[in-house]
Amino acid sequence: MKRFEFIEDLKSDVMFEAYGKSLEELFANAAFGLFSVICQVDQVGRRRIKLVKVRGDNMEDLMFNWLQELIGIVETDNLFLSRFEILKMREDGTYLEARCYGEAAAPEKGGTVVKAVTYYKYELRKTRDGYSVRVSLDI
Amino acid sequence: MKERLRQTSSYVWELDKNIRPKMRVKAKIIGSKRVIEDVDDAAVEQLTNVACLPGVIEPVVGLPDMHWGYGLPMGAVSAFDANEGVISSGLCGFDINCGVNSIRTNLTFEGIREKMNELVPALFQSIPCGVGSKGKLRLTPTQLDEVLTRGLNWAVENGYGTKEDIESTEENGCMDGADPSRVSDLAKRRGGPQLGTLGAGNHFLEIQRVTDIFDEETAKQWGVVGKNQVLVMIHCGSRGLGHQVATDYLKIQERAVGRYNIWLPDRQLACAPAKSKEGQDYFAAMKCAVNYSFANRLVMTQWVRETFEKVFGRSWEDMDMHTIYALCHNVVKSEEHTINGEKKKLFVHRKGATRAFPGDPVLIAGTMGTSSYILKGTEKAMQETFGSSVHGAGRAMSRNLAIKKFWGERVRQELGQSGITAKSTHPKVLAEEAPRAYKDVEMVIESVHGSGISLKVARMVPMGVCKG
Repeated sequence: MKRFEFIEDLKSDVMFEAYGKSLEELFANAAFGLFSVICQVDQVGRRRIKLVKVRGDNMEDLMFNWLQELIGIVETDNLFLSRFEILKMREDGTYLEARCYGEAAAPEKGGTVVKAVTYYKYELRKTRDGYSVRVSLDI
Repeated sequence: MKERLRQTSSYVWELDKNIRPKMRVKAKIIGSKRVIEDVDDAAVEQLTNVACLPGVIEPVVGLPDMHWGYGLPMGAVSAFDANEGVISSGLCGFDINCGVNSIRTNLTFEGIREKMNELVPALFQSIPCGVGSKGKLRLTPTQLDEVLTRGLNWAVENGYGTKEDIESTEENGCMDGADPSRVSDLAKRRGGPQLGTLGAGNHFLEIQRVTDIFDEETAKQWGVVGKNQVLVMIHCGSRGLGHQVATDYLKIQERAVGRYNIWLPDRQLACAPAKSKEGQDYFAAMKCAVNYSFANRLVMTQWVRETFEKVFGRSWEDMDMHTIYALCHNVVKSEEHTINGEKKKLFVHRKGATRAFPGDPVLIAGTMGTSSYILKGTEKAMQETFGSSVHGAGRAMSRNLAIKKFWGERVRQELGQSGITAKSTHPKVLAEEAPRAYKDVEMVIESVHGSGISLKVARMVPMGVCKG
């Protein structure tokens, strides 16, 4: 199963779809998709660890807040992240805890600034093989 | 939806309000036939979405550079009644006061050509750019609040720029009524360390050469006196602070939409009644981001001046490096306009649009391979577009496609062959931002000038480019 793929829909911005056999895998892969836009994610190490706790109203909202939280961390903690371990996730989508691995952000390994996640065509779905989420970023 | 456009004059195309249910007013697009042929159908539909919002004033305007954006196209203006209307975080967009500063010099390109290989890397060194770049300023929370409240007044008092810079900036570089307590802690933590940074994507710092002067008298007033004169342009916004303000208030206003029972055709158009707490809180927070962005660009302007001083061994005053003008491309303003012969207070939302009041400078940012323009606002703009003009060209292809199609190093070489020195944090940026990934700015300018919403004053082309 692919972790994520870019979708050609937006000229000025970026859309991708992420996949996972489980919700935990979906959240990790969507985060990986996000960071493949923010930085050259395959060159980013895993020396630094950041614990993240996110709340939501439901699973779709939780995913949105999770990605939004990670966008903030790039700037508040000056980190590029490359690996994501979901430690806890409530089934009703109200809470998750994750351990994220990365290294200090540096322009040489940068991609582009992601301003925000948007609701454009945003959708988290159950699929035959697991789950998918479609995400559009404002860059 | 495009087939419903009705041409009413050479450069005006209208969408009647009866073309779909719930439209309260008509929409119109300013542009030549060629511009209209290029416009996405989805972007046209977005104009009609906005025409459904409460208190919207006729018409919702699409400008000649309009292209699809989240909620509303980039290159669009919508105005709302100050009492009955809404204020919308969605209609302003994520990069609050993304805008442009144009700085003149008395240098000519011939005079600095030999130094370009020294100047561009020196600028690249002194202006932090790219994702993950570190700002050079360390502000305390109190100092940051000062920036948010006082904008350029803070900058000048702290040694960045002069009183003349303030006078040459839209709103004198500070919107009154900015309230930092309406800005979230996260927004402050994101933006705090970034003051004086360029960011990435389509933001840039350019050394430009004047190629044409169309209106000598106006150009002269603004200090643009001849072909080959060197200008500097900075295109940048409110960084993480503004992005987070927009993100926070999209959520807040999305809840307000339910509370005030507003029907929305698109979730991205989150808004709140102009007089409601959710409307006014956003406005007060947005003003903070506007002020931050003005300060951000002036701080960098001062570093550009200092870099020129080092490279050329003269003072920046001696090189006449004054701000021609500095303005916003994404903003909400409280303005008075004449509607059907009556003066009315409106909230004007400019998204990818420039204020173009009669006689004021209008700055259009090109891309690293194409032209930028200085235009002049007109009375026609007051009548047609709520005193607004275009902001740039817009993309012709996605970044992803551009990366597949162009190779960064090749783009740099091609630019080099055209006499343009380009420096970026990594080659991928140059591929993403390759000139051919953008639409033709000349076509946009022809429509602007032809329609009379602003008039050409000068054209510049890039000679040196720094990009994140």
